[in-house]
Amino acid sequence: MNKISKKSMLEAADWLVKQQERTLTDTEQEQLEKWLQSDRNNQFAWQRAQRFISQIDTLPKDIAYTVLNRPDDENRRLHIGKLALILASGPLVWGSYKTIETQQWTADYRTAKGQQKQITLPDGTTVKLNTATAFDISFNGKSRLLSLREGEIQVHTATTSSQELKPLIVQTQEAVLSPTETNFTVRQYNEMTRVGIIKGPLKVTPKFANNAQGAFFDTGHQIELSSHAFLSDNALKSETTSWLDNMLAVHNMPLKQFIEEVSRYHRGRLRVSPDIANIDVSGAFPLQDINIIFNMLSHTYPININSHLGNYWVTLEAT
Amino acid sequence: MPHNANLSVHHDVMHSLYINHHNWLYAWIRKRLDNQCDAADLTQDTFLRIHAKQNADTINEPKAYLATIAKGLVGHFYRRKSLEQAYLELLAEQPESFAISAESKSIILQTLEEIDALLSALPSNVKQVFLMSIIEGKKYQQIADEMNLSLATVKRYMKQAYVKCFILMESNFFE
Repeated sequence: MNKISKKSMLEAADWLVKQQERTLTDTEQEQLEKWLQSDRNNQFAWQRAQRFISQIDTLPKDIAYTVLNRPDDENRRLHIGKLALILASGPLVWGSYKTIETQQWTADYRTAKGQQKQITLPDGTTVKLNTATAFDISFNGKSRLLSLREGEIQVHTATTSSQELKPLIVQTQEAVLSPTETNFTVRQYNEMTRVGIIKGPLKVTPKFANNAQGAFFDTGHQIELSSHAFLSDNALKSETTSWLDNMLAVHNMPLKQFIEEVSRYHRGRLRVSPDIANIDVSGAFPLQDINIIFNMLSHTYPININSHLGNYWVTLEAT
Repeated sequence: MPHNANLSVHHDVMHSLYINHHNWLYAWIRKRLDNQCDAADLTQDTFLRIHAKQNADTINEPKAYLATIAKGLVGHFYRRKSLEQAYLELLAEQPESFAISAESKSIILQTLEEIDALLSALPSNVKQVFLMSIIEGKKYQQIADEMNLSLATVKRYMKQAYVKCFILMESNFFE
């Protein structure tokens, strides 16, 4: 984890307070951007802040408030049986300091727009990050918890996971996923999670389902869920996994939605004029160069593409 | 190789530290816990923390040092217990329609423990303001009105809480 300067933390806290007090003006938004760009330390502090806030966002509000605000009873002697502790009891073994290090370890990973990255976790599990993605991993005595905060990842768990390692659990805002030798993709939508299972099985549980039972899904399923229910269970589509080959595959997708997908990978502003918003787009588009996508669109559909400021401002209009 | 030599020195120092101090430390913790198993665990945990830091050979006053770490762990232990109890009680009170899966329960508990440990370092009125904002989502002015504080104070508390949490997030807060 990166060491962050006190100054950056103080400034990050200032920005957070300002942001919570009221919506930032455009000028302030620019100043915030500048502040972020001016120092890596500021970026780390800001990421830390976002991680903290998104962690809190995963909690059910009323429960969190009551539990965290419970009366201070540190000195009360409680006898509620033996709870799982940080360490299981047993003879003290020198040389196990790695365990305790990992138990306290947390790490943040993220990609910028247009960037993809693959990392390997200590147990050999690989995680591929699609564009504009952030997740973090925390370890405690009970589990290794990977929390997807935004974007999309592929998780491929190692086939021979060591006995010493705690099970990996992947969570999104809506779902809890328990893989066992599984290969899957998961994407955080706005208030929805989509899971694509390349190799199963995968146990999927909506966080606050009425009937709080998870379900096992096998290879070739694609599941969508909210925090309260499963929304759909279909055959895995190539559209869900095409990003792994650096392609954007779509089938009969309205142009407006298609451009929203493209926007995930592109730093500039893309606008679609309303009269062509409903043109259905199909095909597989390479993600590494947005100009190729524009070319393909304008050759196949009655669309004119006006690009300004080196693709920073792009408008799609009817020919 | 120097690195291995250091490790072996560290090992020896750890060993004598353990031999010389294990018994009184166990008794010290036991007195504060009323539970043999937990006391044994926390005693081990105290030594493991020093072992992880690899600084056993720089400790001047081992008794005071061990007691300081153990004290932090005992406090943390009680905090976790009271948190878990409050959490379980609250879950039991929920209507049946509000069912949470076993997986979610333990994830929520884990997150609560992490945040609780961060917040425990805050003065109680700062913590209260912070919770009203980040958990309840109340506006600063609303909090100021309810708590009978000025808006400037609410903002100052919020900043204080954020900074404290950021700092703790990157250090081990038992030390």
